Amino acid sequence: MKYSRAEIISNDKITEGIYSMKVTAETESVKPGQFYMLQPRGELLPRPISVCEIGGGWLEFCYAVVGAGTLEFSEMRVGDEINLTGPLGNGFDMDFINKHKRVAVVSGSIGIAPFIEVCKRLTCEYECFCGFHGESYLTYRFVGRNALGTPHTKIATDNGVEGHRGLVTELFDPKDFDLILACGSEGFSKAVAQMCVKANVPLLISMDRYMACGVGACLCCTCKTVNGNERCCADGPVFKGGELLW
Amino acid sequence: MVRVNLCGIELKNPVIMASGTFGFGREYSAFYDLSKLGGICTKGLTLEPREGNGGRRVHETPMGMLNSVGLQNPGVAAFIERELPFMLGLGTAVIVNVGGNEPEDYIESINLLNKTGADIIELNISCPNVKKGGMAYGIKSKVAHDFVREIRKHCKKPLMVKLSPNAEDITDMAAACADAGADALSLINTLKGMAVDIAARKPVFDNVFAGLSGPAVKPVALRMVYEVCKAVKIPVVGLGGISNAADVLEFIMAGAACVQIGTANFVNPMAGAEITGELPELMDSLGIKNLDEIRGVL
Repeated sequence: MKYSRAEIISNDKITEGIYSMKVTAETESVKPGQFYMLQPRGELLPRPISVCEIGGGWLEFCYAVVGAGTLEFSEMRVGDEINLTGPLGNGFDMDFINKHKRVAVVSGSIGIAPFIEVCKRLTCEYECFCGFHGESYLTYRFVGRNALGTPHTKIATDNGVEGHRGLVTELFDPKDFDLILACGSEGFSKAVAQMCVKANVPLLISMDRYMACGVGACLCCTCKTVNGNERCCADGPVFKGGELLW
Repeated sequence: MVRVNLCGIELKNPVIMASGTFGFGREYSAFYDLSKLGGICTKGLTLEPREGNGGRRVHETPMGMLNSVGLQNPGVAAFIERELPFMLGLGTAVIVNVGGNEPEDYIESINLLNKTGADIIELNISCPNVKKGGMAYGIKSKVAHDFVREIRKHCKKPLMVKLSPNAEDITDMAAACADAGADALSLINTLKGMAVDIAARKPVFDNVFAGLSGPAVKPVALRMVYEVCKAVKIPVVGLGGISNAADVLEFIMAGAACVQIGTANFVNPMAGAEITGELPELMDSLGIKNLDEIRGVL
C-alpha cells in the first residue's frame, strides 16, 4: 500500500447517483475486495471506495453519491488528479473461494462493485443475485456487462422495474450453495448473515463502515466479532459471516 | 537546527505523532521510516483492556472530525508485551499515553511502565469520550492538581499532562498541573462537540458527545498554547489541527517546545514524513537558523 497521485482516465455516470471512475495505478499487488482511500479536495477525510475492476495500469471504482465527498468525485473530469492510498484491507481470497463447488454472489445496491473483479476470477460454478433500489439496477447492466453476465444472474428491485419485485434475499436459498459472498448495506448484510448462519452455510461478507485513517490506526471503523472488535479497514473489510456480531 | 530537548529526552525534531491517531506505529511504518519522527505518542492505554464505544465512531465536520472511539486499547500489560518492544526499535522517542478511571488504575499502569524503556508518560486527563475518569480530572484545576500530585509520587519517568480545552480556565489548569509536579504539558485534546442525524432524529453518536479535532480547532488550540506558555515555565507541547510545517512554526512562535500531529495522519498517511521534511526547508526560506530563535517570539 502506498500514498500516491493518480490521473482520472474516465468518470462516467451510469445512472442517477451511480458513477464509475477509472484511474491510473500500479495494480500488480491489488486483490479483488480491497479498497482505496480517495481524497476529495474540498473535504478533510479521504473516502473508502472498493476496487470494482483491476486492469493493467488502471483501476476502476464504481461508487454511489451519498455525501459531499462522493459528490465531488462525481464532478471530477478526465485528466484531473486525485490523491489515493491503497490497496487497503484483506480482500477476497480467490484461491480459497475457488476451492468451493457452488458459490452464490449476493449484492445489495452499490455492494455489487467489488464483485465485478471477483466474478472475473471465479473458476468454480456460481450464480449472482443482485438487489437494487429502482432504476439503480442499470448499474448491473453497465458494470455487470461481462463479469456478472451469467445466464443465471437474478435481479431484484424494490419497485419491480426489473426482475423480482422485492428483496434480493428472497431470490436464493443458501442451502443450494457451499459458500456465499455478499456485500451491501448494514441491513442487507445482517439479513444475509442471519440466513447463512441459520442454514449453516459459510459466508464471506465485505463490510462497510465510516472510516478516518483507513490503515488500521484510528479504530473508528470497528466491527463487533466473536474475537472482539476488529478493524473493518485492516482486519476486513471481508469477514467470515459467522464471526460477526450484530 | 530542529533538535529539541523535551524533559531531558532528546528529540530529533519537534514533530511528535499524537495519541490515538497513530496506533502503536505499526500501520504507518509500512508507509515511511518512523525514525524520521521526533516521537510517537501511543494510543491511550488503560490498566485493563477496553472495547471502546459502540455505534458510530467518526463523523466529518467542516475541516474537522468528531470521534467517539472511547479508549479502545489492549491494556498496559499487553502493550508492554506486544507493542512496546516494536516501538522501542523504531529509533524515535516513545511517549506512552495513560488513561483510566480511578487514581489507583493510573498508578498501577504507571508502576508497570516505570520498569520499561518508555521515554515519557503522557497523562490523559482530557478524553471527552469516556464516562468516568478521563476528562473528569481535567475540568477543575483543584481536582487536576491533587490528581497530578498523586501520580507524580509514583511516576519515575518524565510526566507530561495532556490538557483538555474543556477545562474551566486553561491557564489556571496549566499552572495547577505545573505546581503539582508535571514536567511538561500537552494541549489541546479534542473539543467536546456533537452532531445530529436529522433523518433519524437522534444524535450521531451513542454517547451524544464526541471529540472535535482537525484544522477547524487550530486557532483555538494556538490561542490556548499561547496563553499557557505565558503562564507556566515548564515545556508545552502544542497540538490541535496542525497539518503542515507552517502550522508547526506558528505553535513554536506561540511558545511551544514541540508539537503533535493528529488528524493530519488520517488525511495523508505520509503527513509525519512530509512535515518533518518540509520544516527545515521552510525555516531556511524564512531565515530561521534554529527553533530557539523563534520560540515564544510573539
